[in-house]
Amino acid sequence: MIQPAPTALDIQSLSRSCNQALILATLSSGPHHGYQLVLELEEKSGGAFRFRHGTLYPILHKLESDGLIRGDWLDEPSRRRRKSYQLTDAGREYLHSQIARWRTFVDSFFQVVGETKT
Amino acid sequence: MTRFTHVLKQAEHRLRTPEPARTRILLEIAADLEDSYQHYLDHGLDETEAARCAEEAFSTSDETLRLLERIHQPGFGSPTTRFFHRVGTVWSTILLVLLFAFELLLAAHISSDRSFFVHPSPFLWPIGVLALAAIAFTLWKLTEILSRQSRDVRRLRVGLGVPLLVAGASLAVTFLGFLFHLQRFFRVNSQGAPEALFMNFAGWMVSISSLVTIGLLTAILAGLVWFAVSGLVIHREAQEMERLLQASS
Repeated sequence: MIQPAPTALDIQSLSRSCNQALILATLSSGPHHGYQLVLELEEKSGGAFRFRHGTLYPILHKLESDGLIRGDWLDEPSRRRRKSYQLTDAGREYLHSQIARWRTFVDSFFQVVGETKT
Repeated sequence: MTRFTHVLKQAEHRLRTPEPARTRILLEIAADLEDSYQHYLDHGLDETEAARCAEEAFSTSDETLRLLERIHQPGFGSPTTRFFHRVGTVWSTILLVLLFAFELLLAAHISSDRSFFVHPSPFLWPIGVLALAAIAFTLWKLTEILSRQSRDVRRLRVGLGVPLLVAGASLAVTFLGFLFHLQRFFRVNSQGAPEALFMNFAGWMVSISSLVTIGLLTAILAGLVWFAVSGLVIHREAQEMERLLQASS
């Protein structure tokens, strides 16, 4: 299970936390297939966040096993059966806590980096 | 589908998660591969190039597969899962039914013999509770497995280790009871002559036999329940996998 969110971000788990927040935020606009998620993330970030598709599944499946997102198999006419993910209430709550943590993190980051003379 | 069969086969060989999680992961990758391929085609790539790009994007590293295995690994490990794939054949079912019948007949025969319970041990009570727990678990799991409403087979593995705990607890209580009665016997009979001690010990063995027999029978019953229910769960998972494959082909 996901641990209660501490106020500060753990430097060691930045990448995982970032990936989770990005996926949850993308799903907050509605259900997505895995591939749609990758495309939308890339598009919204202007290509800044590029997921290697294969790495997406462990993140999605972990979020699903933690109850933050729900995956449903959908039958679509003349297409392969596919899995669609959507945010759960717990996921929405977790996303809000993550966003607050990232805000604090980014502010703190620029407090340090912003004072640097280049 | 045939376009990416070799990619999926490779992933299938390297992925060691139990069914039906493995098939689900492969189906998900297959659907996303097709989407990705279509996306590259729409952006003007030819078929070969689009397929190559899609494969490249979906290549799964060993680390990714290990992470998936960790997420989908059930509580009681993959060796037991492989073992239970053999369950469900006609012979294994017949053997299981015969073992259950033998166990129940033996239990009925023993409990009908009043002389067996002339000196009942207080340790028989917790063993009785454990036997009831094993029966209640069986009824609960059977209802869950056979119920048409429980469509999410992932939930079926919840609590599968309970009968093994019951079996272990039954053996532990039996052993503790045996030790308790043994030390009590020697405490009471330590002053007597060796011949009397021997005679009393034979009598004590008869009285303790109900505890040992019921304890062992309960442990075996719980073990059989675990074996049968786990087999049924694996069978349901295989059915679900088949259903997903048929729906996707």
